[in-house]
Amino acid sequence: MNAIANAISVFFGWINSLGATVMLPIALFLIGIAFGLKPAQSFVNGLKVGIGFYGLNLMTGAIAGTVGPLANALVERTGLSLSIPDVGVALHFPITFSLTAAAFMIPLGILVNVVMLTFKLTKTVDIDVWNFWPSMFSWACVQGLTGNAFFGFLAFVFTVAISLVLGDMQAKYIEKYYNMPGISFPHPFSSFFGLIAWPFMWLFDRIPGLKDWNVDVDSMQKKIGPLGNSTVFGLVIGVGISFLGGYDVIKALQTGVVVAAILLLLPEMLKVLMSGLFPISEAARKWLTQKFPGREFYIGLDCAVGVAQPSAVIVAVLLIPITLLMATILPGNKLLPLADLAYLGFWVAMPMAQFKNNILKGVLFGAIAISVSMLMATSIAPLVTRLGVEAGSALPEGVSQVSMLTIYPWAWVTTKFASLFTGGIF
Amino acid sequence: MENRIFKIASVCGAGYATSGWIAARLGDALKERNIDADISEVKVVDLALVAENYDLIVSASELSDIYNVPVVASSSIITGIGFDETLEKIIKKLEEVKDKK
Repeated sequence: MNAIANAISVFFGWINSLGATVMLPIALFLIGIAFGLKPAQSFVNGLKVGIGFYGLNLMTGAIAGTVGPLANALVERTGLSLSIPDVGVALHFPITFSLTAAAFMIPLGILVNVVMLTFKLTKTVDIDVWNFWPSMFSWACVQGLTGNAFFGFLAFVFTVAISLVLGDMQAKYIEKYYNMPGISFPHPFSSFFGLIAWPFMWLFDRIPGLKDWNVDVDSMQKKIGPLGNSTVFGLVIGVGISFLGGYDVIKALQTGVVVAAILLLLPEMLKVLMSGLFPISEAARKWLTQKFPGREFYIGLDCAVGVAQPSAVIVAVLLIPITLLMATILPGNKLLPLADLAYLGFWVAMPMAQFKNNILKGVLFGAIAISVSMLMATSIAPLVTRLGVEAGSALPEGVSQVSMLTIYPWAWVTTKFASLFTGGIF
Repeated sequence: MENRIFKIASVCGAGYATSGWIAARLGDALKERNIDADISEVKVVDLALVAENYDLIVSASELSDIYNVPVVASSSIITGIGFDETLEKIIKKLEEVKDKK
């Protein structure tokens, strides 16, 4: 018996020593085969995920050398307490993808969905397997805090389940105000902020003038749309923060280009990674829609669909300066928003439908919701920094912590809950 | 529609997940009909400055054609419900812009 146990532990030790760039392609190759893809196709897909992940890791190194000193200079010169740079997906991915379980998030997520559909606990058929990835972040954080993989698994199941249930409840707004009948967003980010938006729907309608405040969305999008280009504002913000930090012109311009590069190149790496997942998504979609046909179900999509609504686009652009302002005045905030500034639309992806595409409501809510995220990002920074370093991602020079603005709220909630029993981080 | 490679922007909020999946499925469907298309994923906030580089925009949301480039809503490409109608709409729009440069 001992020999067997020994062999098993040696085997898993070997699997772990492969690292995510090797383990992920192998696991995804096998999962692709299980989903009925051809071996050659499945092999290439798995490899692409490994390559995309490697590309993200390359970016992490480049980010580390720039944003650390930048945050440092800002803190020292201005006395602002923004000592935790937001490195976005450059932290997200190493943390989730270094989990052995990450490779199995797709079958596990589908399993949770199918069990819930079978017991009529949800009406959403989640065809976009990418929706399960944010739930892995709950797993990673809870396992990281407690050291127990089973608790991580529970956090994952909870996050998938609550996102499906809230997705069902929020679908009626998507039909009515995004004109997309039969669609829901069972996504951990939108489900949480859709939930937070409910009381604000009531509250905002009681503020005089706000209820019927309106603007021509198309003409506004035409006017301010160009300002939202992430490479342009990446440069502007990079240069701006550099000047605040006392950099000279040359260094400020160089830093601006690096910040713009972060906003442009991180998603490029994700494109490569994602392209390896589409065939599995496609196979899952076919299988699920065969098994749960008809019109009595919602089809679950990524909330990126909501982010692309014209009203959400405008709010996302308006929220860029507001987010930077909130970061400086919000008591207790230490996060310096950077890499995730390109994604501010996600906070209102669901709420814009609840607010009937009212831009002003969206901006007011966005300012509050992003403040909540900044405080979550600050408080969970020690944990995610440790997990990032353990996953082999480089810590920026001169800072002791990193975090991200798009911290998944259900990950924060489940980790906070776990910490009530285990103590630690918070 | 030979001899012409259409440039199509596939738009969603993030510019890699949903739009990429739509781009992949649409590319396959157009190839089956011998239509050459170069489809790129575009993050919606980046669209304003790059829209004019494209012959057609397919958007996961309902966007208006404020950039003088035709727009087709594309979520049915991945939900599968209304897929054929959407594909016909896209091909019709491509035929309309065929002679434009």
